[in-house]
Amino acid sequence: MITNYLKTAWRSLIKDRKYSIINFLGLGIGIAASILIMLYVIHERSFDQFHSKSDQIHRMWVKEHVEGDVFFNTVTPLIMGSEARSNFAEVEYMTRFVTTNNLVKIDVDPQSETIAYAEPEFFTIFDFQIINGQSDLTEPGEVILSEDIAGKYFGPSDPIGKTISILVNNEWRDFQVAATASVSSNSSVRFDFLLPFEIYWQGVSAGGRSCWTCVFGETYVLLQPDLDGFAMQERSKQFFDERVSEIYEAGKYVVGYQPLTDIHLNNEFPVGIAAVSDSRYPYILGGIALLILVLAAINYITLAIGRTLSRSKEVGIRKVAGAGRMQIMLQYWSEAVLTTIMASVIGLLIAVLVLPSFNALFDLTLSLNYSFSLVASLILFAIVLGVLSAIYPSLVLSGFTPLQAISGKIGVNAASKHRILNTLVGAQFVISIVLIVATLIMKNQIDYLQNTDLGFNQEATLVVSSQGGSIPELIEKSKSQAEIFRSEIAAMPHVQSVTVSNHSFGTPGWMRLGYNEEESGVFRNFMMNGIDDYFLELFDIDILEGRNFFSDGESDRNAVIVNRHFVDEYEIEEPLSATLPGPFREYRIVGVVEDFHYESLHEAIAPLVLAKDPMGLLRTTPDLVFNDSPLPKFNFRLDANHLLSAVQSVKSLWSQHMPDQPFDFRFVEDDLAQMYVSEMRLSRMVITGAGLAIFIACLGLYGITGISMNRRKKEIGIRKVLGATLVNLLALFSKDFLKLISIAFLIAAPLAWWLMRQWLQDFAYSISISSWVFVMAAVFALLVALIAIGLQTVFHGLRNPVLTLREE
Amino acid sequence: MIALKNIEKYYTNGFQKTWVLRDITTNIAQGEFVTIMGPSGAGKSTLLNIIGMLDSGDKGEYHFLDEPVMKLREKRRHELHKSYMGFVFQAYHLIDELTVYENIETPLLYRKVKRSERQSMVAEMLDRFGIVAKKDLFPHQLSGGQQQLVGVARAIVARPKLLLADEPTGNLHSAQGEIIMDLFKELHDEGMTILQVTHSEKNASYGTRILEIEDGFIREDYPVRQGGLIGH
Repeated sequence: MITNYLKTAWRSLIKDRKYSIINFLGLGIGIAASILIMLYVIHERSFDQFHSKSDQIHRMWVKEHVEGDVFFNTVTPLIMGSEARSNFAEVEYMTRFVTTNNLVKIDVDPQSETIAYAEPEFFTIFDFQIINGQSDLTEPGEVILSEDIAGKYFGPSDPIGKTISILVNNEWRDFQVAATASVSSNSSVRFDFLLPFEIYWQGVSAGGRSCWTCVFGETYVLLQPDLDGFAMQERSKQFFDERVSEIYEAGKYVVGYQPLTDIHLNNEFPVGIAAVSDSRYPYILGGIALLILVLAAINYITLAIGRTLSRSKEVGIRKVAGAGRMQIMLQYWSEAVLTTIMASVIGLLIAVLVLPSFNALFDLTLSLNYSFSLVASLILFAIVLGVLSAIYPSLVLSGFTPLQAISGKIGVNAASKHRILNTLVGAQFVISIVLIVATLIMKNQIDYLQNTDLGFNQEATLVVSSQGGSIPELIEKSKSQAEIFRSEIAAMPHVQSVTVSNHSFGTPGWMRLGYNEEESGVFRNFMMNGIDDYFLELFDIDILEGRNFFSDGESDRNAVIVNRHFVDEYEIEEPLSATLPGPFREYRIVGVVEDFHYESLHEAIAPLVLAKDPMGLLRTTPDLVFNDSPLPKFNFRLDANHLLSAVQSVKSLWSQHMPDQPFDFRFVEDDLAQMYVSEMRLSRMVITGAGLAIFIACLGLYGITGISMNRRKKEIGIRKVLGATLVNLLALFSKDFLKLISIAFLIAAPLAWWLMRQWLQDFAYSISISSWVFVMAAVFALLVALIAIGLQTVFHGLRNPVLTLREE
Repeated sequence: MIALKNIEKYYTNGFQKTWVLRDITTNIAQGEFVTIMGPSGAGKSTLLNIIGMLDSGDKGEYHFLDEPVMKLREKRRHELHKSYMGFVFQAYHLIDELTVYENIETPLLYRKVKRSERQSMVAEMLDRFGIVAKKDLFPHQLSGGQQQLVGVARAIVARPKLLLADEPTGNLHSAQGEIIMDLFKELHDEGMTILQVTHSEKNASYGTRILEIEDGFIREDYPVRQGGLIGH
């Protein structure tokens, strides 16, 4: 029986080649998208599952409630983990996990690398596979390398026993490579160089070691089996309340435990050391894949319904020959499943072909492994898809009485069928128009992000960070170094100037200083950057009032420049005779600059203080948040037309004067672009999705127009004989679709508007959605539809009417 | 075998009723070869379809092998149709995507006949109708007469008790038509009950009884004199 079904199915697929190709192509693209997105979702969901005790591992977090503000951190005080470990039997094992950026010397040139520190219980908690050698992180002279970094520095040769120099706590120390470990790509906890925590601990002051309000690194604990984080939080609540009772009232300092497997996709928690993925991506990508599949399935349905006339005779004969309704339905289902299985093969092929570009587009390293489960799930998927798409067509086809079917008189319920067809095609247009609008709005917003005047000049600015020392030391050293650079730059044709600052542009954020107002106790904060007297000039920042810093070293120690927002927010009437508020009263305001975007456009501009001597402010402030390293940075303004030689000049300058420091440079423009990587990626996803959706919808439209014209070929013939031109015919056939697209537009426009408003709310600065976006989307949808219909009109309209009439 | 009592069939168009069949009452016994004749639009095909359970009357009673067809549930009616009836159409109505062999095999598939049995039954038909050599051809590769042979083979392969034929030779030229009619005769001689609709008096002469229908009524009902032409 089934072979008979499949035989008929196969032959009719061959016979109706045109429609089969439309179905294979549409479903194939949909399935390819689904395969890729499934790979991505599986990868995202597999994060941290490879540890055998992954369900017991938790990361500690701390939430401090200060005067209405909440400071939530997944990096914790150092004392927290050791206290938990020694006071609670529920905490079976604990390791603190801290990272720092250090200089590493393996051959000659020092490189800047991220060094991680962990305690001996690290390897009891986590199951990182040791590939070579052995180490339990107890020997202070040993280092464990990741497989990747071992490969980078030692190539294929065995690194075990080799010596590496690392600048820790301001001195160069030698470490022996004791082991290499594999850090899989789906691990949140990552390291390149892993040192015993003891090394880090030595560099922490006594105050820092016992500080409950300073955060250093992550703390991972292995809880007793079957004890969840919430339960543990309850049990340890009173304990921590008591520990911090001198600083916080009970309940104001909350310590909790986040499951390890929750870290990767939970965006509610602040990012600690472990990188976090945008949890919306799997949903957005999955949604797009689903939409594409739905569009392809709709094509299958409309084309199948459209062809009922040509298939109905066969159904009638089968019924007369004794087929029951279920048997007819089964036949159409097997035909649909055959189609979807073949489409899956095509989809798999497409997926394999585009996987590299997919990886490149989304910064992934996914790979397809051709396992039994892949094939099995693909087949299962194809069956489900086929059965779902064929439900309606098979119901319609099997529902005819044999007489109606054989005679082709199936017009009885044509009206209701027509309505369903229209609804389906309309749904495709709704999806397409929403995606077009989304694409246009995203593109506008990204253009806006990239082209908005940020209030400073970012052009051709090269940034190099200084390293290897304490901040105050480095600030002093850098400033005098900048003087030397400046005198040499004067002779360099393509390097224009240099300035030193704690923060440059395109970074995660500048430092934030907070304090409580004396009278009201209200917590307030402002942003801060330490700069020199060349900074404003180099970045073309306008001075509204007052002056820049004086260039000599000593004066202006107590002077600050603020931005316009600062003056507004603190309601300062005479800024040039005012001082900073709160504990910073000894700082005089000497100048006011126009607001500029020191952070990404996701963030609103906040009050900002630019200080010549940031250390004084840093020593004064009771509260300090770093979002980025404050190590002083050299900002070189280069000649944009001679970038290459300019970089060469700076590099030789650098290696001549700072031979022990790596020349790790970056460009402000690149970093600024980097801030919107997530948006760019999202828009690429949506653009790709929209393109595919429209393509598939048009395929369907092309097919369904073809069918309807075929049915009306006699009418076309008669009209042609009566003198209708191609344009007349196009108008005739597109009239219905125009109506349909208009209705689809009325549904899609508000939907798209609402969706995109949600998205735009992520930005402090965004475009307003203009109506022409909708007009463009509508025009585009219309145009594409007209092309699909037009092609068919030309094809059918050019046939000799005599022939088509005779056929009847 | 077939007992019809006051069968009526009509279409309502607004307030107007258009009668197709009125007050049809007749019996057909097993082994009869009945021809339904009459002008176009008289309701011949409708009657045939009602008897073949492809259509149903609006009023009246229809007993097939003593089962009250019009009171049966769809499923039982489908079973009766499947077990006892074979259909031959004027336009052959073969499935274009299937070969001769597969077309003949189709009714057996729906009757869940075992594969080996199916093969022998189809082979028997191919043999009997002399179309063994054509078994792997598709319908469009055959002449009209050959297609109708396949049509008849398909109708009788499952050994129905009643063969219904709607103008079986209508699309064929006379030589081909004769072959089909001879075949019908042969089947009748073997004991099959046959009901055919035709315009052709010549074809009617192969049967045993004629029902003449006009405007939905049975006008005449008389036997065919064996060996001769039709008399009144």
